[in-house]
Amino acid sequence: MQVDWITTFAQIINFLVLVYLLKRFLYRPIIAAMNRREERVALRLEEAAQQSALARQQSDEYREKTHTFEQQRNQLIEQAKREAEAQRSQLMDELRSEIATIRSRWHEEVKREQQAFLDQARKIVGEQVCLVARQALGQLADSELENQMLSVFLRKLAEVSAQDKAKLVQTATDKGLMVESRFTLSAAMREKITAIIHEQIDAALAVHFEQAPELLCGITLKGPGFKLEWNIESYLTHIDEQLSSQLAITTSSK
Amino acid sequence: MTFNPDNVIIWQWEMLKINATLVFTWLVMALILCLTWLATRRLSDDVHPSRWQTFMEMLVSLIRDQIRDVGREDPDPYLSFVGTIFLFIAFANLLTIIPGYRPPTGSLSTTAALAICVFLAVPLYGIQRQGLLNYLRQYTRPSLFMLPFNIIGEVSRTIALAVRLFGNMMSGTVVVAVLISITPFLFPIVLQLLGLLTGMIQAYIFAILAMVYISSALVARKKNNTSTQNRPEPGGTAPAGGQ
Repeated sequence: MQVDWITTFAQIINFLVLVYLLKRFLYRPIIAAMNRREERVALRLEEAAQQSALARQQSDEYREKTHTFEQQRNQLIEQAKREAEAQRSQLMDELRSEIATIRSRWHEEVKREQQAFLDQARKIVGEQVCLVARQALGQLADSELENQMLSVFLRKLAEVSAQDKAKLVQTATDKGLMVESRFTLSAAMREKITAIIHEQIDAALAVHFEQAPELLCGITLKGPGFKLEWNIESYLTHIDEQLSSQLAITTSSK
Repeated sequence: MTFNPDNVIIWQWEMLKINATLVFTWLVMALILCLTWLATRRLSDDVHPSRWQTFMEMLVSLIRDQIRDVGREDPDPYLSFVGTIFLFIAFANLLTIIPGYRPPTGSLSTTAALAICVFLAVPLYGIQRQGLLNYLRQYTRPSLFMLPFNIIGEVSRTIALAVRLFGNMMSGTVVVAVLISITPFLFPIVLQLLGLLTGMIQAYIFAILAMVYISSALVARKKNNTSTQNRPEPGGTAPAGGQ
């Protein structure tokens, strides 16, 4: 084995030419391309990082806004609920008050109408009863109703207890007794009553007579702390109570 | 049978002759340049380069990484020289799979030429980086008596570089030729495959050793700078290499 120096020299030249050509056409362009690619990739990565940071920031902002909106929404809903509840209770109170007012007005009106009806009925009934009694008594007994009432009154006067009579004498000595009647008593009737009072109670008592239109039909003896009467008013009052209770039952059932 | 492609004369005019070594060298050079053209004709810096460009980028990146690992420096100033050594030897050895092809690296003239290039490149890189005097001064370290030994070491490692590549490649060719004459089947194929592996390893070894020799001069400069700043140290001797 020996070295061919001419070939060796030629190979040196060949090698140096190859070094130059590869440096010119391979290494330099390839490295430049790789560097450019690295720069582009780095640039893209940087852009991606910036966009990612921006996206993260926007995401945080939107999350914060959403949170704020959620809080505001909840607050508004709570406030609306409170206001609606307050308004509802206010309206309910007003409604209750109005219903109570209407009910009380209605009750008053019903009571008033009832009272008016009863008054009217009592008046009509009393008058009718008196009229009927008068006609009946007049037709049947051939005497006036007043006489019959006076008879009944005088019989009741006779039934007054001795204790009441003594008390009446003590109390009515000064002012005397008052006899009230719906109808006008005749002079004979007055004398008869006075005589009986003097006979039954005390002869010294003064007796006064007065006509009382509020008595429907009857006669009353009044003294201080004493009252004796026969009046159709008591019967009518009974009828009135019956009518009132009947009306009350009818109203509550409705 | 002629094993030395230098002796296969194809054309001769007086002293000038074109032998198989030169022809196959030009073939290898043409192949490498052809691949280079394929890789760089549509050079793209997009993220999707062509296949050839990807292949060449991978190759160049591999060489740069190896240079960076060995030299601990920026690989670009040495890439052209070391990378071309590797590519030339690798392709020259890979083409042995083609029948009738004789690797130029099987010629001592080619390996000597490459070794001489390394022998010249080491001081050139050293002088370029640290100046002539500083470079020459490292031959006298650690003392002036070491000057002849350093020079002998420099020359001997160059010869070793040339002979190592030549020996490995020539031996592969010789062994295959001998085996073909003895057992024409199977064994030559296996040894041919082994020869391919050996050829790639030799390309790698040659390029790495070249970089080691170059970087040894730079390391010596760095050590000199460090010793002047801190304390005097004996200068590093470049590895002689060997296999």
